[in-house]
Amino acid sequence: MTSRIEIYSPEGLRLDGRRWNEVRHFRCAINTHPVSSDGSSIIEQGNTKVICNVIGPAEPTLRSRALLDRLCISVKVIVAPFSTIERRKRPQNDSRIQEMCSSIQHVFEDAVIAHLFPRSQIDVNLYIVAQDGGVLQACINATTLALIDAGVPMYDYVCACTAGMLDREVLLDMNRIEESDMPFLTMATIGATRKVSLLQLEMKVQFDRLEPMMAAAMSGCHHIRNLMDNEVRKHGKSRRQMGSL
Amino acid sequence: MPITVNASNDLFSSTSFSSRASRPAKDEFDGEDVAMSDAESAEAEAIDVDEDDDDDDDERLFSLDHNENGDGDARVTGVVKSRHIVTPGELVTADSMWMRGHGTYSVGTKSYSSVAGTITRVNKLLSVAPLRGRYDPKIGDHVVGRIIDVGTRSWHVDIGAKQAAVLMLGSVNLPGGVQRRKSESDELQMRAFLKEGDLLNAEVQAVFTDGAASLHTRSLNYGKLRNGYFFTIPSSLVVRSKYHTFELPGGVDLVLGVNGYLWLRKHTQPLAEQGVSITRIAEEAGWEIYSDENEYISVNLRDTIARYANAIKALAYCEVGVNEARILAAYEASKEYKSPGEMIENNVKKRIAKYVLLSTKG
Amino acid sequence: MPLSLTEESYLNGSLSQRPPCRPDGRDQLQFRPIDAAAGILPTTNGSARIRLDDGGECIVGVKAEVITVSGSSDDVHVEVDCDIVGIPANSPMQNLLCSTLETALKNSLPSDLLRITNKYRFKIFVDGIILDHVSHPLTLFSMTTYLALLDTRLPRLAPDSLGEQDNDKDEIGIPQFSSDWADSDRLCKSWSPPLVQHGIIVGKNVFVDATGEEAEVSDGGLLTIWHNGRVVGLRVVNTRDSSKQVFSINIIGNAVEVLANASREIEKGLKGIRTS
Repeated sequence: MTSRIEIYSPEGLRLDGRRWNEVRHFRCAINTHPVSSDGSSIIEQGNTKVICNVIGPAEPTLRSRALLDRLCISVKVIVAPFSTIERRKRPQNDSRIQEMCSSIQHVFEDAVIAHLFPRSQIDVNLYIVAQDGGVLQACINATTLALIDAGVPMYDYVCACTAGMLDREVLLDMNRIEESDMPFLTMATIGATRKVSLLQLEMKVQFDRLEPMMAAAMSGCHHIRNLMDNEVRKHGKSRRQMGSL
Repeated sequence: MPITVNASNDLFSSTSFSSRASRPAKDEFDGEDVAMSDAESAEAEAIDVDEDDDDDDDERLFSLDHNENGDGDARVTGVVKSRHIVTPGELVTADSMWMRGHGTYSVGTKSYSSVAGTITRVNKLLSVAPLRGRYDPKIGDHVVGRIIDVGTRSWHVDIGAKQAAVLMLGSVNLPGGVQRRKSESDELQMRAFLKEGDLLNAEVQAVFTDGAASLHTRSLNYGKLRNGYFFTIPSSLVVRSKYHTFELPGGVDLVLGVNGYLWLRKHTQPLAEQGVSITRIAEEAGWEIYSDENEYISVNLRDTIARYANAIKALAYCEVGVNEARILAAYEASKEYKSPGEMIENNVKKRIAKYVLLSTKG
Repeated sequence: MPLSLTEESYLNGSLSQRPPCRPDGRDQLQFRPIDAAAGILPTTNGSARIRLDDGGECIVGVKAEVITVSGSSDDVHVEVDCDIVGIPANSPMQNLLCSTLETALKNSLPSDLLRITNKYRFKIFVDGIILDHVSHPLTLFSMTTYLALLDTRLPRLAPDSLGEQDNDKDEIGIPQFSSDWADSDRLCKSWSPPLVQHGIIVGKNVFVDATGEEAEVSDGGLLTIWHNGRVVGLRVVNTRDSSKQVFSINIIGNAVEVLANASREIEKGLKGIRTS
């Protein structure tokens, strides 16, 4: 168990030199797999790396799964055995992975303007190739970018961020070591609004400490939204210049 | 050299794990609260700031209008492509004068973009065209499709759109001419005409409300495809024009589907020109139109087909729009390479595209 | 991959010609360009990613774990696993990929490269994800594994630890490794990994790097395992549900030569990629 002093020094520095309210190094790219998918993205948040491929909207593979009045989203998460420090092979029906798929599916079923595509299906494939904390948030952010790349109509970006509570200190965007050492929550917001699309907390935390965590996480979500939006605009401008619009 | 190994050059190829971090700005916290909620808890200053931005947006849209019609009428006639990129959730207009088209959604009088793309305005219709997306069928489009399913009175056809297209039994030419009554045996014999995997070219006759296309092949220019090679390019790169079947030098025909599905084949005389009088065309359509047999195709012709395919793929790789003039230019450029196989290298593709853009300018 | 009868007939006709005419004009030995990168995942001992222009993509991560062995066993401990998106686990295709590569590695990797002390060995895990494939994924998987192994580094024992002698006393404890990543050994300093190639046979012709449609109309396929400049393994595979899998010795001999040449060229190409 890591000593508390190391995780957050008295000067206010974390293990990687960040302050409490700084998110990790964020890199993203859109339209990374133009041939094999309708929309794609790669996201790097700190050392966590996620690839997302979206296929659709398209004819559903199983007629029975099609919804008569709206789009059906199917999410699949593949965790590479080499993504963690210790190599670990997870079976497809691992309950944590299934839960992550289900959360992501619910988030995007509401975020996408689903009634425009009755009896159609979107397949979202997420590949986690490196894990260092914040995996669910990276998956949600990657899915948002891939859906935007595919031209799927959405009400707004869905952006996610984590926040943790170390004694009474709030920390934003945790890495793996921080996540294992304190209670933390993952939040996803609709764009830069206060509407929360996902809130997931897995360890016990005192009730009065919940609000500062949520406030910090929301601020982090909005910041990430801007980072993603910058990339989408940059990509849009470069495509426009190529004259392919 | 049998293999070219290029070093990857994208986000994934470099590992940058610097601890460069970024901080959400303090006023981020009092986020804009425009889109969906009942706007009760946002900070006062934040809302003011946002409203100013909205007005700027509207003014920008309006100012272009005023420039065009000097009489101050805010109506815009004709298509005006604004250069403004919008992203999902961004306010497009708050003026109720505009009709909201694809790519937008409204909350009250305000319209927001639902995709990342450019604003397009046609008369009073304001839409956002996404940067990327699957083929959207429009009436009159000449497309190439593949049968994926045989139903009782119709076929389902893959045309690379968001939904499979429908080809009704009544929309195809049946051997024996149009005068022939449709019988029950036709329904049972559906696979004798078109079966799973068959390729055909057709025209979009109608588009259903959910976006699915209905096709017809009721002309001897359409129907089952043979004697050739199939491949695809992104549908956004196909330039719409009056005709989509071309006779290319070298004895090759091209069917350039608007949906990005292409068919290159040995040149055949269109049935309409084979000395058959117009009134008898329908009756002359025999079973040959559904034949699965190819004619003899010489090695030279196969080589020419490969050359055209690579030339078009080169244009697609460099994201150059494809039309007849450019295909001809690309074929000219390709003659420099003795074997079409040389054209699969990325630098060759770029050279061909560059030549095409220079020679077809204006 | 769905093809119409006329397409099959055209493709088969083109590929059966003497000399053959491939739909994209390549010759029999010619590969399409590949995009390769190594050393992309710092959580691994070695990693690589290869992309083909038809959208095929494979990422391989190599990890080494310390295991204890009894006596002075000479076994090579390697485990190969791969996740092919779209194909369920334990399917014949997946088994083919994993078992072929695992056997090839076990047969060619010198056991002393994995030896730490008498009691401890490295076990190498090769894990791959094939994000997309249109043509047969074995060549793609093998090339990516090759590059990932070229990139693999194994840590050295810390200087004040057991030392380099054969210490098999139980009280020595777990080996400590140097935490300086620059102080590590390349796995492939003195050894080259094997390379598995898949080729298709149409009539009397052999082709490397078959596209999905070419494989669809072929009579069958051939796998060769290439190592140290020689073909050390061979296997006939079917590319479609056809019973026509009997090939003459001449055809197989010719195919082996073609695939060996291709393997040689691929090795040269992959060795030119910068590794970490």
